[in-house]
Amino acid sequence: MPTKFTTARAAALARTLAGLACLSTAAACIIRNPNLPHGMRVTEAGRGSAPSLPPFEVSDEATAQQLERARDQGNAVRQELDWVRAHQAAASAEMAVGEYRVAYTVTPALSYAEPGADGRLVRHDPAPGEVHLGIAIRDAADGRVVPGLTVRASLVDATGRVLDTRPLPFGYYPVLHRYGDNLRWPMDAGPLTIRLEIAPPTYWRHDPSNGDRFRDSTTVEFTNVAVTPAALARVAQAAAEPGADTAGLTLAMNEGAALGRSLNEMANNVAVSGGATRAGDYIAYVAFERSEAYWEPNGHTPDGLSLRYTIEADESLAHNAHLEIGMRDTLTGRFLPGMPPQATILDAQGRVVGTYEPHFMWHPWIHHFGMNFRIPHSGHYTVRVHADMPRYRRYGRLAETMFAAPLDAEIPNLKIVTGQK
Amino acid sequence: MHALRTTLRPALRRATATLGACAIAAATLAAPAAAQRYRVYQWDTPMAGWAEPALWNAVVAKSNLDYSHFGKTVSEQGVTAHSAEFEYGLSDRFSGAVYADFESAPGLPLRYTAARVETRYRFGDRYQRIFDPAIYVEYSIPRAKYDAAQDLEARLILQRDLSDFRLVLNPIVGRTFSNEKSSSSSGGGSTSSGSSGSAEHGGGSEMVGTEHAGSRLSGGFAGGLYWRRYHLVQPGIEYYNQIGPLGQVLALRDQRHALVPTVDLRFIPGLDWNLGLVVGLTPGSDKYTVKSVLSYEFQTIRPANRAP
Repeated sequence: MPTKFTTARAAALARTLAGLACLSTAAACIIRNPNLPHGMRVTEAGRGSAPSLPPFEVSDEATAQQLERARDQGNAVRQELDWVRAHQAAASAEMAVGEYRVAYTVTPALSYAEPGADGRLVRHDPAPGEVHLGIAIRDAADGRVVPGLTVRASLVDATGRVLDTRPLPFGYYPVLHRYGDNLRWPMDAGPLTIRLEIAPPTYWRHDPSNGDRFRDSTTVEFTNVAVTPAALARVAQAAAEPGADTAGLTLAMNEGAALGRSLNEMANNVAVSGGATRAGDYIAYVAFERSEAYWEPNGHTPDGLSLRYTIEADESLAHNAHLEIGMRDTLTGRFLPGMPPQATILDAQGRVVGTYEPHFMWHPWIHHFGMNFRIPHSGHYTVRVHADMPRYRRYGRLAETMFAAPLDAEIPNLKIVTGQK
Repeated sequence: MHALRTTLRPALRRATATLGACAIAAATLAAPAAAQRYRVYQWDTPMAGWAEPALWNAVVAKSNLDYSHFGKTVSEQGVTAHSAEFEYGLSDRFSGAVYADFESAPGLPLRYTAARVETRYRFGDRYQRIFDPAIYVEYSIPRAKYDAAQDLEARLILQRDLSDFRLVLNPIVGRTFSNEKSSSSSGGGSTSSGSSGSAEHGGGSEMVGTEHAGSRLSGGFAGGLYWRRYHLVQPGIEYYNQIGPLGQVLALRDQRHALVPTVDLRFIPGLDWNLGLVVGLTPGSDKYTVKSVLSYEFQTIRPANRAP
């Protein structure tokens, strides 16, 4: 016989629920970082969004050693930046802003190639009087290049007048990947301010601890930027010397080698299986893991990008495997962003299991394109990878003819074990 | 007279021991519908900094058993038990939780009965061993008017994924700590008095004149098999038992054994509603109990960024 729901019981239950609600609300309202400084901060090079260190801690996705592999890649990038600033830039500076370290380089204008309407590479020479403005954006924690950002640059004179404003797309450079463009630098306008607006990237992120990063928009202002014809001529002359690029290219290869060590770690010690193959100007690598959760964009808030951790991957086996694909260039071995692949998985009998289009995923020590999917059973499978050639510009003499064809590669006999990570 | 006492003494002892055993059984087994007991704890713990409040409810729909509720003997049928829980991920492997328990018996108001503190730690990473192991430890501090005994419960959590199925085993051992002592006479004539009913405290009543009632270990088991092919709806089957004090296991009919078909519903991201129908398998069990656990997971409330 059910008991009566008396007023006293209702009051007691209501008090309990109210208390629980208060506790939950308090928990949900805890500021993400109560100590994070807000607003802009003045630096020697100008001013920018107050800097903060994104998470860089041991997690279920990254051991201490694996985090150091990310740092190795970042250190190599830093050395490339230092070399570009010392040997190629007529003007440059760097500062810590937001979750990044942002540097600008003004170099002599660069020729470049990019796919035309018919898909063939078309070479473009710079116009007279142009310089090349490049923005190198690195992760403040590990120093790696941050791909997939939307960067807008404005040149502002001393009176506050905007002389030029444009998006700066990502480009492939033989040394130090940057967001950049050729533009006319108004030499007679005096020292300028380079203002940058960096929107938070909307790609997925691995790692419940370290993946919670890059939520905020970032503003950077490099002030008193002066570019002189004499400085440009000096670096152009140095660049024309035989073997001028060799040292820089070696540094870029160091970055590629550091990435290679991360790949070996993934294939041999972490993933269920992994493999790589060379195809034209590309090296394609594929790895399989068990399904895992990740951060995905979940709209915007007044504070910036909202991220949601997809715990569904932990709560069920609707997806029971995780596919990871990446591309590297054969010149330096560095990661190639901006090439979303298609992967067709075939079973041991050659039957197509499915075709998948993984998303770019930030990873604490090895970026890749990835996704969870469901496979009927564990076993050995073949992966056919296709990716259209990258749409971004290839800058410089060494790169102008690279990536002229799409990537098509096949990696056989990869093991998939179903489950969740 | 002396002859009478000599003849009656053994008989009286036997009768008293039998009564005592029955009282133990009654006190041990005639438990409130402890909502928190019908839960199989899995290996996964909340991530570091994640918070998970939960509301546990159970209603004894049908039972022939009685138990002691704040000193009153009442029927278990119609008893409702509620627990408010707050669990927090102290690290990626280690979580802690606090509970507040409430109970209402038929005709009686809802009352606070106990507070509990729990911790869970998982070892290693998934798939490293035949079973993924973790441990669970809980300490219960009942309200003095409700129960004089405090309980310590430990569970070994063993989990194994078999394709789309998950098998979870929770062998349980408990120990009751009580300040009550029984008075004894040389004739052994005193009757035991069962402590107020908290069956899960395992042997929480007093023995006749010999020892502290609460110093006995008790045993039990919880286990579940779940089909996890889909995210929104996940059916499962669970099994629970309480066998009584270790070394003095109760007769099978007095033990609690229950089979529980369950379903987990996840229609809102982060929200998990676990429902189950507890079907008692022995005379010592409630016939039918309905259980519900509603939980919500708050993601990462710790600071993510640090000042450089």
